Amino acid sequence: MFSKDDRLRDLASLQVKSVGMPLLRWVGTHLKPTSVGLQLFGAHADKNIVSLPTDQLRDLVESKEIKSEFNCSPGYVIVASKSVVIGCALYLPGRLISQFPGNMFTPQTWEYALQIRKMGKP
Amino acid sequence: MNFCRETTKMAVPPGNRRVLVPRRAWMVRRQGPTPEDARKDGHIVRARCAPLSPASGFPVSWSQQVIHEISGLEILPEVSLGSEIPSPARIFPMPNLTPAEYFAPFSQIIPNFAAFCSKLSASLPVHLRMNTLKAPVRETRLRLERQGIALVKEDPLKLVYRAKNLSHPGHLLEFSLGHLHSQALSSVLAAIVLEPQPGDAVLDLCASPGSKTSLMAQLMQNKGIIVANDRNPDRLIPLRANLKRLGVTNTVITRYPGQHFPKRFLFDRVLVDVPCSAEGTLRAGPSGTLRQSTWASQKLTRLQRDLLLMAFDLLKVGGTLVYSTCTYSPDENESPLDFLLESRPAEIQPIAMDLPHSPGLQQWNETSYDPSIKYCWRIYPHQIDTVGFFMARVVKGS
Repeated sequence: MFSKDDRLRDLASLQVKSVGMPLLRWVGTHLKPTSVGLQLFGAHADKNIVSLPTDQLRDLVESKEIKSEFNCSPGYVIVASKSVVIGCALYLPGRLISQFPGNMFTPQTWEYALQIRKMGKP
Repeated sequence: MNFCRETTKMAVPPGNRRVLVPRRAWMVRRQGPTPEDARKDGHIVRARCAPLSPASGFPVSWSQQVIHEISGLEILPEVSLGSEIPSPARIFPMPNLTPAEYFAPFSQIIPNFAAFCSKLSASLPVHLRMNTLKAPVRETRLRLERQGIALVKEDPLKLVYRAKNLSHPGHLLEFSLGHLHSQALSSVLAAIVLEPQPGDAVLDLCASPGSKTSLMAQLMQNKGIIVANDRNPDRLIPLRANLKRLGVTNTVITRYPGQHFPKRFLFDRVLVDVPCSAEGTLRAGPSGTLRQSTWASQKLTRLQRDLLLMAFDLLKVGGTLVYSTCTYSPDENESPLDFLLESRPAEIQPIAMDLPHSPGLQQWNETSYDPSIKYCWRIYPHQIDTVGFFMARVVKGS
């Protein structure tokens, strides 16, 4: 996806390595929405949204899959937590499979907030 | 802070020694003496490890010396809240040189030199830029404050906050989601001074890792077009990753040596944040690359001059250019600009911002500069608590 601009055509002769932001990606014969694309537009969706509490989100990120039923159709869904769109997952009946990029979170993400709270405000 | 832990024994040729780098980040100059506590069991190796950036929590870069010399070392990043920064004598690449000794050549041009040296002993503050492309400032701020992070507003644009009890913003969920970005305050100022407008065509000639590029996209509200260029293919990786994470949709990434960028398209605004000796980053520990040899300095100056000239030639008439470095050396700051003024129809304009700074120098080492150089900004850490910086705003005449 790229913001509409006629001058983009003028840049076609350059050694372009990347343009805009990926919104969709081919996975086999299917188009999968990217997590970064959903973070921009997912707030406008009104169905196939799975809202997870923090601990379930953490389980999904760390284990790549959680076993649970959700009220949505099988296929790619939007994962949200505390009203914030996180990214894309694949829902099959009884299973939610993470489609987040591997390097999206650091191993310390979930513990870090707890440590800050323990340290207290200066 | 990161540390390197030796996981495999290496065959040690006679005359070489090996070191176990302890849980602190420092640079051990290859030919210099090794600190005592780096010795273990009589074995030391000369190691040069770039630390994790205290701001982002991600590795900044790895010295070629580490790759070639210490294969088999396992590099483990660590969350270490409230970590102690090594003493000043250790964080400089030339051991046993205090800040006053190292910057003695600049003692006449840096105002209140004693305060400057004293400031270098303090750790660099963590500044967070709120990314309005992904979330409103207020919402991100509230989420951080609910986590117990103390925020202090820093700049006039209300986008940048200083986090008082945060050492690794890269571990925040909000960082992963692109709601904020860790960026030095001086780096933010360079993009703000350029004043990119929605609909402009902007070039960032030395763009990686994309902090200023993404800020410009934010100021442009993702409208118009930004060409983000960097010559090093390895540096395109963090550039692309940061732009994706921060929700930038109006940027095209190219890979050219900046001084050879094709002149097929002219831009409304150009930002040229040149590679430099990075003396302004010394306070943060050894995260900058310091050119120590005379040959290296001369090579940089020539490169900086070539980059500046190319950046200027890529401007439309009436267009605006910002030249910036994170160093104090007049050879890398005022000298290239003086050359530009002599060889091109360029005009340095005053920067209209109300922040403490020093003006550009009028003279250095018996060389006098154009009078308009005084409109440049020199930012020292004891004036604004951030990375030392230099910037100039240039307009192209007909």
